[in-house]
Amino acid sequence: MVTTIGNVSIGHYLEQFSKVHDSLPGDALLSKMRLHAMQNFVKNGFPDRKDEQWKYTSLYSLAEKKFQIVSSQRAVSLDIKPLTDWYIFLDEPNNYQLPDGIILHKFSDGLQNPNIIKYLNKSTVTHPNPLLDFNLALMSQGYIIEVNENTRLTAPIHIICGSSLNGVTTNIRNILIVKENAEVSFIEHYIGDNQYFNNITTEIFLSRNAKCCIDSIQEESADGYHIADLFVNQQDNSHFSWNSFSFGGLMARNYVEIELNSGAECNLQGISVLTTEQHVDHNILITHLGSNSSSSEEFKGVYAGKAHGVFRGDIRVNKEVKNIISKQLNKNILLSDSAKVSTQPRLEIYNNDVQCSHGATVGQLDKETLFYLQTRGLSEDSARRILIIAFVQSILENVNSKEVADYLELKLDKILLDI
Amino acid sequence: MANEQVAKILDKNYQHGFVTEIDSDTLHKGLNEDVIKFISSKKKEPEFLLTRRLKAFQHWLTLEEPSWQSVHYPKINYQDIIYYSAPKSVKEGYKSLDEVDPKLLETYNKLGIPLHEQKILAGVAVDAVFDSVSVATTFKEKLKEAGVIFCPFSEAAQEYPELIEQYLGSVVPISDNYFACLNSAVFSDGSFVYIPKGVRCPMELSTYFRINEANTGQFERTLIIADEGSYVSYLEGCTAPMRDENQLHAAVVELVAHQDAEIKYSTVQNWYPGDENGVGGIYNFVTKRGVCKGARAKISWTQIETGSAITWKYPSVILKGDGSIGEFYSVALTNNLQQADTGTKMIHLGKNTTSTIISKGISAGKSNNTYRGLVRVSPNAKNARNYTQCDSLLMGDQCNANTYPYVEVNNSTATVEHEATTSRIGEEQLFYCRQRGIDQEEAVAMIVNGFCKEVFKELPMEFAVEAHRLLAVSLEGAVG
Repeated sequence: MVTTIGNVSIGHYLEQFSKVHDSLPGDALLSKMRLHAMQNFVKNGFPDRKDEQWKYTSLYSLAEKKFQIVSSQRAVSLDIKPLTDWYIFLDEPNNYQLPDGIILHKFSDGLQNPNIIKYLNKSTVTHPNPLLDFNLALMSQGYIIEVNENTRLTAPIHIICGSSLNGVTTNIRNILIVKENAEVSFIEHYIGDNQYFNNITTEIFLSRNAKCCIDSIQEESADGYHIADLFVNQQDNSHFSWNSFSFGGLMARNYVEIELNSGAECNLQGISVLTTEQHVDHNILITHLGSNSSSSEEFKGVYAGKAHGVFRGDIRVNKEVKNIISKQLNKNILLSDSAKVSTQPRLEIYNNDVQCSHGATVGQLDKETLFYLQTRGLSEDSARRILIIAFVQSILENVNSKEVADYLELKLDKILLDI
Repeated sequence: MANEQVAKILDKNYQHGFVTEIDSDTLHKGLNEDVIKFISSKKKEPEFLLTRRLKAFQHWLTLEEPSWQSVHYPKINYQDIIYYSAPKSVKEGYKSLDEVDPKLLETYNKLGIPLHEQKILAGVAVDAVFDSVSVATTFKEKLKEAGVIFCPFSEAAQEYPELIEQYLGSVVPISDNYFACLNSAVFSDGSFVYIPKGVRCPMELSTYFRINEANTGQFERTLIIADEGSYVSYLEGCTAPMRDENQLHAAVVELVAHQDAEIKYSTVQNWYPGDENGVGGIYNFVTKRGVCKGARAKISWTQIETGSAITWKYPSVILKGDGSIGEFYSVALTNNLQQADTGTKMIHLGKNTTSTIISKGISAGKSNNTYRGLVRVSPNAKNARNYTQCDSLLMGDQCNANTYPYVEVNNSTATVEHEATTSRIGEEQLFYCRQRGIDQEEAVAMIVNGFCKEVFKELPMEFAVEAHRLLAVSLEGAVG
């Protein structure tokens, strides 16, 4: 896979890399890994649309730009308030007040710690992607969190990644290790202003019986690029839920890869509401490695303006696993003629002891319902807003923490006023 | 249900695996410009066709064989294929069936196409293609009265060159894909159908293709044109003898439906699937596409795919005319080491266009069954509507079922729905049938037939009976 896009910027990144390489965190071995990864990135370049994984998402405009490599973004100039008492600002490695059983490693320390290093880059990557190499080569920021056995949190931890520097790229690497029987939830919040490129790789390891919930709120700047890869390894009977809320970014791509061992369960949900010339892509691969595992996906998109929504869901059921339940649903509403949706709900089944289903719909708001609401005295705009909220309600209902639910309600109201 | 029981049920024997011993006028193996010139001159083709063939061949040389599909096969040596084969006893222009070589007719009788009886009973006109030459065309007279042209492609090339020149390649151009391009260069024969304005074709047209000669590839070319307000139902059935080597079948079918016209195209494909170890069998790599050119035109594909070592095709509809309709109904059954990668493409270009896709995949043994489909709604296709349902039934724990739908919607007035399920035969359904006194084997057959019912009901009578029979044969072999 050698691509033709971004030939100019690749040279630029290589040059920048040679300047910062020595100052990047990590030991000699990691330094070697970084060098190797950068070589791979230079060799393969940005993925282009000939790659089936990137069929509907073009990185052309990203690859043409030359961002400055920086070790950390800045959140200070942004107006962000933590939603809970426990919070972390990624750009400020302070000593945060965190509940018992939660160990937050300083990024540079974490990359020297053998207990952490043994998890680094150990996720299964089914579709190798040059931006993962780019991330490994340049990672300089991110949260590295260990959750001790039997830890139970009463409220989520709010992790804030604010970006306000113009024309820069930050490579963020998050590692989350949740030990046996622990039960935790996080709010991952990306928010920003100006034009920048955040390349994020998150690796999550859930031990037996661990439970982890992540609400991911993506409110990147309307000019920002957000490329996020999430890998989750779930041991027996663990439970993972991920709620993705995509509102921002000029281009946002979420690649999620989950491995389910025996009895493990995952629930993935998402709401995307885009209004201008924005692009959002959710690309999810769930592999059922163990028997009695189950997965469910429900993603809903509302697209106005010239927005483009992309969904690709893959479900794989391996040979010799039994009793698999897997559901996948992608529903979309188009509000304007220039908006578009491309969806691929895919199943790959190598076994007969399964119950798998998937569905996808693309449509518009029901005219009769709109009319009905107007006969009750509502304006057309507010009738539309009510119907859109009703459309995404099934996902909002499943959000666990009240803080997030309230925040999303306000956010949605604000966005829908512009539609 | 225990796996050995399933295996037993599926342990069917290929019933059409005999070879007809007749002399063939066969060209040597290999492909070059001379071979193409030979085919063209043998068919006494007009100059433009030869030029087209050579252009296709030149383009084909620049192409690479596609590799994205989820079927696997050893590399095909295109120089090891015979591109022209015709039974020697075939003379041109049969007036009646009595002149036809009795051995050929016997072959068809074994396949169960009642050429003689059809005249009286079925009312089906058959253009039987035996390897590369059409041997008998029945009902020509009756069709002529209605103004319908139904003849072998080679005959049409001589008699109606203006129609061929106008329509050939208008739906599947030379450069379309690797196998269509190869076909454009070396196609041997096929059927040509033209239904004039306002004519409802008085009978169902049918072609029975049959690959007989060893080492021959079969490259038919079918072209069906339904002029304004006309209607035609076309049936295609396929079987091939049992052979250890693999044979390539790369056909192209083009349908053109003008304003208010309707074409119904049904296929029962039962090419030799290879034995239980995956030895032999047909590679069925076919390009089928129709275009609804005028307003309110309708094209409907129905396919029952039970044969072939590899089936790889996507009968598609381009919905160009406003208010045009595309339909795709498919049952694909794979067993042993068979592979199928099939589905459809619905390209909505016109306003108020609608399409329906119903696909049922049944995989058993160690087979691999993939549905791959595309629904594309262009920005101008206002109020386009699509409904897709693709279900897979898995029998046994060694088989594999994949579903790869692509949905691309580019305007806000379109409504597109897609749903799919994958599961095995419900234990509860089986139990219910057993408890009503139906034995296991019959119950399985009943459930499978029920699973496919939505597709079967789209088939013309004659084919529906055959399809039921085919599935029943597949499921033969007693379950305890």
